[in-house]
Amino acid sequence: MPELPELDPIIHGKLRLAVLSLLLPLEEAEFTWLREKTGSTDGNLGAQMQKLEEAGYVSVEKRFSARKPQTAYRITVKGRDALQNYIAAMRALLGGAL
Amino acid sequence: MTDSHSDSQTSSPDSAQLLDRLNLIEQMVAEGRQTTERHGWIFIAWGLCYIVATLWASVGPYRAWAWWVCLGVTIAFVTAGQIRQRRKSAGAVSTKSHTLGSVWTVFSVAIMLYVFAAAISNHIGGVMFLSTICFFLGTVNVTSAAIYRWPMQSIAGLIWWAAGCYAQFTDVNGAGIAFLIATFFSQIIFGIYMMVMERRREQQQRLQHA
Repeated sequence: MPELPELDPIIHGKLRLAVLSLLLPLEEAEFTWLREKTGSTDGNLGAQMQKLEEAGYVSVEKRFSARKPQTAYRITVKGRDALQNYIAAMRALLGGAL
Repeated sequence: MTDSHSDSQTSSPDSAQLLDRLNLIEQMVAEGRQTTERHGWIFIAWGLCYIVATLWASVGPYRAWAWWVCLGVTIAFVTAGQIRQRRKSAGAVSTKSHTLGSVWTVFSVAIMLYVFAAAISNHIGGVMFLSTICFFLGTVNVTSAAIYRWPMQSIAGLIWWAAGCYAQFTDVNGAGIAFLIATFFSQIIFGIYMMVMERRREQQQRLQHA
């Protein structure tokens, strides 16, 4: 019997998965935009973004625009690969259910 | 949306949970792709600039100033509009729009350098000048069309290339007329078409959110 693939625990978290998927077709997105799209709180999103950053799945850039601080996130190549592997693993797990 | 699932909860995910995750990925990727950018008005603004400048340089007073004044006013108007649009935008930049923005920025720098060099060397307004401008505009439109996989913009680019080719076989007046015809179809008509498409897309996005 073939071994079932394991799902990446960093990506499997619902909010982290949503953020990575949002970032996938984007060059970059601001923290406030991600918060609005996911409907999460500052604290929760901040904590999850830190986990993604520590895993090397997103990169962060802090800057000022019109004197206001901005935090912009980008998905990294590692994050892109991880998300693709995660989707492939899910499809393998689901098998005939799809 | 909260992260209710702990990091260790991946050991025995059931089918419903996995399907829920797949749906979430699809939904979020589609959300990320949605854009509120508008470019149709820029095509129309530049089209009007070319038409007014060409007519003014042909029949108006102070003809030597025609292109400089029209280019200056259009650059200021388009830049102000884009800054305003960027401030109002939602805070996300798509990869495609970043690529396209880079292509158009490089094109704008190249064409401005070309116009300045032609003006200083007194070659502005000749057959070769107009033909080259047509080829510049055709190339950037076809490049955009290839990035967006948008056949309508390819047609706009091909019209510019056709005008550029025609200009090589005619005199200055013929080249000027070819330039104006290409401007009308590839800037004004295409710009209006683009604005209609942008409005439709926004309506669809609003319906999806409702």
